[in-house]
Amino acid sequence: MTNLLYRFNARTIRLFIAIVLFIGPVYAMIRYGLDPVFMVLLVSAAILLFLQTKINQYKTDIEIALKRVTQNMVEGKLEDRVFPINNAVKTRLNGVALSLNDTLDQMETFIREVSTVLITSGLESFIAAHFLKACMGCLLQS
Amino acid sequence: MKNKIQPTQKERMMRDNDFIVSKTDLKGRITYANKIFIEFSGYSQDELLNSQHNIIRHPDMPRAVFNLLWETLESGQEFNGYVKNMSKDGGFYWVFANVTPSYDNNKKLIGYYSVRRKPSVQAVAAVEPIYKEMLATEKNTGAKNAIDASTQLLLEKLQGVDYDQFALSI
Repeated sequence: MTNLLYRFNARTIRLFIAIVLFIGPVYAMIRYGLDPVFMVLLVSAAILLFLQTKINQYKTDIEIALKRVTQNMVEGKLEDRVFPINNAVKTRLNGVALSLNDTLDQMETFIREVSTVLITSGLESFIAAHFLKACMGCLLQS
Repeated sequence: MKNKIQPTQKERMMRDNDFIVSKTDLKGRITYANKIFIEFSGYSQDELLNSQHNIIRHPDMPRAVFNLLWETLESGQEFNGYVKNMSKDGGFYWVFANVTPSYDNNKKLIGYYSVRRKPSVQAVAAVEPIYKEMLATEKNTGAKNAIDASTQLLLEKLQGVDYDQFALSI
């Protein structure tokens, strides 16, 4: 569903609305003699309802993904992510999901690299100097 | 998704705090891409998802490096290396890549996790001429022996140091 929503970018939506709002009523008026104002209102209401349903569904999908990812975090599983995220939709939930993904990316990288350091130091082998670079906040300071 | 993108000389530089993360399944299909990856690759999330990771492969990269990457990962080890990637618009960006295998709770290999950071200018300057020579060798040798010849050249250039250690030391 989120993939479907993602395809409805602003340009596509504008084009779709333009076609339905102008060509549809003109066709209905010519073909069936219906009142174009009534047709415009009816079609507008249908489009708004359709878009609102899609957005609500998307929000629900993100909420479900957030719940799953945070539950996995509680259980110590850091591999899961909220994905895909529709970047065209600017909601607080999207912001939370992106931030959570960023945090998990850093934590997972940190854990993987610490694991490597432990293994390599145990073998008295070469330890990379780049580790922890680009990790932010406390991960960088540790 | 095979790309027919014409490479350009437009370079994108990673910022100090940039942190490209992606995950793939065992066949190299992308299962996760963070927003920095989406930004640098120029592809949308939909285009990246389930695409082969070589969607961002630059034609200047020798095949032997990727062969080394897969051999290292298949042996259960992590790979460190410098990679020139190609964006959707044909531009390129250099990364220092660290790729590690991912396992499930039963220690079964389920995919790969890759982190790419900004490489140092000196490192790219050291690696680029070696890759150019390797690529030339691959082009001049028959397709059958290209990877072997190119790998041999890399080993000669590194003078006994393995690639991983070389990548971490520059």
